[in-house]
Amino acid sequence: MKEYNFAYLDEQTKRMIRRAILKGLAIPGYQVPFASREMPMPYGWGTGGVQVSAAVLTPDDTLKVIDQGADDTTNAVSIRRFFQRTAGVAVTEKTGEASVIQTRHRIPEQALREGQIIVYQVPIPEPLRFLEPSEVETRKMHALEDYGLMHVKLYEDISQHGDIATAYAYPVKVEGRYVMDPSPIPKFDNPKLDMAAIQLFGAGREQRIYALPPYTKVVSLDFDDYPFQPTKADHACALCGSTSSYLDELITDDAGGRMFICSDTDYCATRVEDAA
Amino acid sequence: MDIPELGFSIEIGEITLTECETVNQFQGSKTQPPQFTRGYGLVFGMTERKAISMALVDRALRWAELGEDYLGAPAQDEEFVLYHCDNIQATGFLEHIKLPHYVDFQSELELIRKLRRDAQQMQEAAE
Ligand SMILES: [Zn+2]
Repeated sequence: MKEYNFAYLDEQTKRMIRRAILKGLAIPGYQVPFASREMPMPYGWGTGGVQVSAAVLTPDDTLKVIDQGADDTTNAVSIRRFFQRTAGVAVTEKTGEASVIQTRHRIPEQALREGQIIVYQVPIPEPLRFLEPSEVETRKMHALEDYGLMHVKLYEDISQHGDIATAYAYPVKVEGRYVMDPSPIPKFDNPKLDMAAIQLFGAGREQRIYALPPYTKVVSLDFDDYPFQPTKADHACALCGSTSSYLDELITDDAGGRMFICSDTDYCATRVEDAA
Repeated sequence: MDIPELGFSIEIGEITLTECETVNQFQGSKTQPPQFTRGYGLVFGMTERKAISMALVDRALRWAELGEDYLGAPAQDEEFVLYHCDNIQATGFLEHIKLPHYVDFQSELELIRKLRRDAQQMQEAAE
């Protein structure tokens, strides 16, 4: 453990990141610029999440890392090993036992509780980016709370497709103020954003951190006559039988055979164990 | 390298640089009379084309200070130039596409199926 400072980053850098996190918590949903470091992994592979985790980890923490809901995916395994090597912290696959959870693209099925921190890896932090390419302009729009363009986009979706054509990274409004990208989680997970744990979002390549304190009011954008609807495949999990969890669809043969299983591997395995 | 404590400079090595100053025509604007203007480029090694390119982009970015019109050209947009010149930044988004995306893909799949089902029902109702 002498080879690395605790959790890889130097203390000065962690301090800078913690300041950004505190500012983010003080202004929920606001994107705070920070001096993102180059990490020993490619940009786009969770460098923002890793820096945020490094800044909040303490030697007593227990870390869980998931990608697509699973603990055994490449990105999750390498980030978990990274912190085992550089911070020596305990790791777990159990959602309930983790004090810090770093995630890519999912929120665990088991409700998080007070005292837990969930860190999201974010590729594109700006919810308005595909509507307005200029950062100068989008920052102005946030400052003026000018979200007309976003509502026009959602309205055009409905007039063209009969539905809001966004399935993941579905935009939310935070405490009635900032429109925020919840990272590319399926919209099924959006209702969980109202939670008891601290939520931190890190975008390394784009050099932004934002945050949601516990019990922050998070509302998915919609219209009165087209209310937001979280959706999932209309099946039960083939392994644990759950009808309320988010499912992955697996193709099992060349004849169109398929099965649906939980994307949250810990949730599914725990249910199978409990049933046995 | 300047050593302030000693009051003189010492040589610590040599690098080859290519420097370029372009002279560009300028028709003048509401605030400036017609004159020549300059762009500046400095790059490592002997790479003249790169230095010239840099000088031209530098000149294009100076439109505001010279009172020129913004023509919507990418080279006039600081943000566009900076993002596209940062190779590390630029590789990041591509690099992440190597990682799995089946959770977001699944949610898109559900949406596309629903939209297609709705469209088919509308069509059948119309027939
Ligand atoms: Zn299951």
